[in-house]
Amino acid sequence: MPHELSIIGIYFSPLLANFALGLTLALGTAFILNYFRLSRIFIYPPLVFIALVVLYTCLLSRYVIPA
Amino acid sequence: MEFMALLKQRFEVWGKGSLPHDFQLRVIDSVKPALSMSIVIALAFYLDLKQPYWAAFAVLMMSFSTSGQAFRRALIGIPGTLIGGLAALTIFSIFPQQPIFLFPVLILYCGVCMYFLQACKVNGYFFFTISFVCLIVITTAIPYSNEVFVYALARLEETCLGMTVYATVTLLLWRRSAWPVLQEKVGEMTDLHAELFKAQMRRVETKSKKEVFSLQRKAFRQLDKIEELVGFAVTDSYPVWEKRNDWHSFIIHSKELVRAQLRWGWVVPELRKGYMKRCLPDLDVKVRQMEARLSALKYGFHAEHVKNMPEPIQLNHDKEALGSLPYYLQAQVVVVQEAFNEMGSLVHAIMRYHYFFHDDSLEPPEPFLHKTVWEFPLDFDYLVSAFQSVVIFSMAAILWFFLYPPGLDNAQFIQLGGAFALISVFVKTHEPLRDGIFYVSAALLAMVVYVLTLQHLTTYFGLGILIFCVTFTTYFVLIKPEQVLFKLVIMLSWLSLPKFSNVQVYDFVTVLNSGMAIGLAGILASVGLYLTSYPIPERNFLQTRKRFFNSAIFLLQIMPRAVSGRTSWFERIRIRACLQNFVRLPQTMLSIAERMDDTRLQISRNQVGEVIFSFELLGEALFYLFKTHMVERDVVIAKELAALFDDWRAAKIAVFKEMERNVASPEFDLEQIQKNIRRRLEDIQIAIEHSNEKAEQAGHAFDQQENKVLYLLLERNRGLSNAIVEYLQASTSIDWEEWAQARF
Repeated sequence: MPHELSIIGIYFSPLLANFALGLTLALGTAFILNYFRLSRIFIYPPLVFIALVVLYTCLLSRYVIPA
Repeated sequence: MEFMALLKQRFEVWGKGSLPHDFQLRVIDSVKPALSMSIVIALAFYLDLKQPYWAAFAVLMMSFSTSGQAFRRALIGIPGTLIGGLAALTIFSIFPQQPIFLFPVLILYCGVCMYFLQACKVNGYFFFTISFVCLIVITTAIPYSNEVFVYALARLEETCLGMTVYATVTLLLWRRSAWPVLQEKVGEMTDLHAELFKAQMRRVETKSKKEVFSLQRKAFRQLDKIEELVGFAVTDSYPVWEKRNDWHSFIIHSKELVRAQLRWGWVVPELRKGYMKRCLPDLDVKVRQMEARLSALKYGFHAEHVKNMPEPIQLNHDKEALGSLPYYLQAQVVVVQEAFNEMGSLVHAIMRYHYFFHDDSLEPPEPFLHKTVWEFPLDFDYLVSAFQSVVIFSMAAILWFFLYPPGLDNAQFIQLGGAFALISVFVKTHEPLRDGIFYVSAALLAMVVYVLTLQHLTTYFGLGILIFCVTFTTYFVLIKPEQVLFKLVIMLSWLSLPKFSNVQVYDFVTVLNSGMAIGLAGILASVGLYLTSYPIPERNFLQTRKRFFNSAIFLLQIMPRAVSGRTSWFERIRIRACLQNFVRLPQTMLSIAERMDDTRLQISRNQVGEVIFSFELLGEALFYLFKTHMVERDVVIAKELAALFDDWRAAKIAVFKEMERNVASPEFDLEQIQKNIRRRLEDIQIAIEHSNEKAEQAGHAFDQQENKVLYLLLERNRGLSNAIVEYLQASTSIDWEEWAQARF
């Protein structure tokens, strides 16, 4: 059943929270990949970054804060 | 008192590296927009205008430090608003009920405006205004399509109001004209000309290019600044307005002098050679005269100097000594002589302009270079930036059309997405992910200020004080160049969230909705920009390098056809773009190099600088080779000689292709290349002598002019080959493969 998050009495879509978390996790992953010089295996890292954001958002929506 | 002194010191430390570093100037620069905002909102309330905060937007966009800048923006902003409003009416009237056509047309229109925003350095703001106004009017009118005219008119009224108020405030309070700033910058520029010449002459002994490179970089930056300042000073200073054509001509001469100094630096190592001293006996005297003339310029003694020496400093050659040299050495002497004489004429013209600017009784000087005809600016970088802005705007439109993002029931989300797309070109930061943080923080800050203050206000006076305080604090704290976007977005959020009006409604849910729309549209803009621009400086540098080589290959390949005039319209356009690239791309490389992380790349700025310097040499060499070939079209070249030139050209194309294809500098044997250059020089020298003999036997000997062209062609080809060698030597210090590695 669809539901919303309530923060100080205001309702938010869970997707928004998942997106924010997904973005943060993708930034963290990008930092780690850069640190260990693993990002060189990608041809175009910006696309990988967007893919990571989408992936994390979907996973979080499925398992952590389901809609 | 001690506390105040400490506070002042803290603020000064915070502002280090920014333009208005001085504490007093910072206060003045913050008071002006703050006061203008309060006045303009009060007037908009008094006149009961439709969206009072639009007038404050106009103040925001105009808030720059000198009055000339403000006047210029007002002069181009008001007609820009009118044209933008008309464009909005036209587009909206054609597609009132067809969003599927309306948005593509609007996006395309904004994209074209963004191209010209970058192409016009002084009046680019006009194109920003016409696109921004069109976007705001159309998106505001989306739920009430019959009111589009009312919104267009309101926008015009409020922009005029905002610009008039800000211009009046800058005129009446602490007026700062652009004229003294311009004088100061011109003074610095003359210093740079003198220093550059001295540094070039020091190269005769030291061979070091480092100093020359940094001076040249400074000179180019200064010239751009002066060009902009002249544009501003024309509007607030009568002496500049009166002599505006001469000021523009002065800039053209100054630019050309920096280039002429580069060409002079190119031939300076030749001055060590004995034959040069024999053929140019008065070289040392003339060099000293040139130094004296540049020093006179630097210290402001131009009037006395022009009176004592009214003619340009020109170098003459000894005919006998020249005649005794082989032809290819004669060509070298002629090139040195021409380079010096060109510089002498330019310095003379600049000196006369200085004299004229300081003495109104004089006649305008005769320009050495005539004003070039306006050329359509062809720049791939501008096109890419405009395309990125189109992509961001399209993403916002698609999201708004198919999903239900936060934002008010009108097209608030698309309005914000479009505005951020335009701002991404107007304020380039090259750090899109950091911009995303700025957008979200600005929305949060504006919401906090709203919640804590606005709903507790009961009087107009209180509102005025609040607007003043928020604006003052924002302008006072955020003064670093990298904080411009943050400042702009904070002010935009703060002004648009409360929707100031005479009948104020405090609705937290509406404000939160708008705040979230700002944050989300900002994230969308920054992600879109990151995706399309991939702003890693090393990668950008490599792309620019590749474009340079590509232009070089095209120009060398097309040269024979260009000389015979057998080129298509498209090829002629591309030739022009290539020639512009040789000047522009090294400058793009410079700005990219400034964004590089030296410690991460483990390379000094000077090493990158030397590579860029070698690109400048390559650009000049290619430009002059092409120019000499175009002159050569009137001279008949023997087949044997033409084949040798063609062979050399093919060798150069092969080298450029190899450099373009291999990311890392390919392993060239520099000694072998230099040997090949010498061999080719000798072969061509012999071929020229043969064709001279044959022509004499056939009864139509080459005249001196024809011979000069042939040897100049030889010299220009040698110049390009030497520039390639310089580049290869400079590029060995850089680990290109490391630069090519992808990273986030």
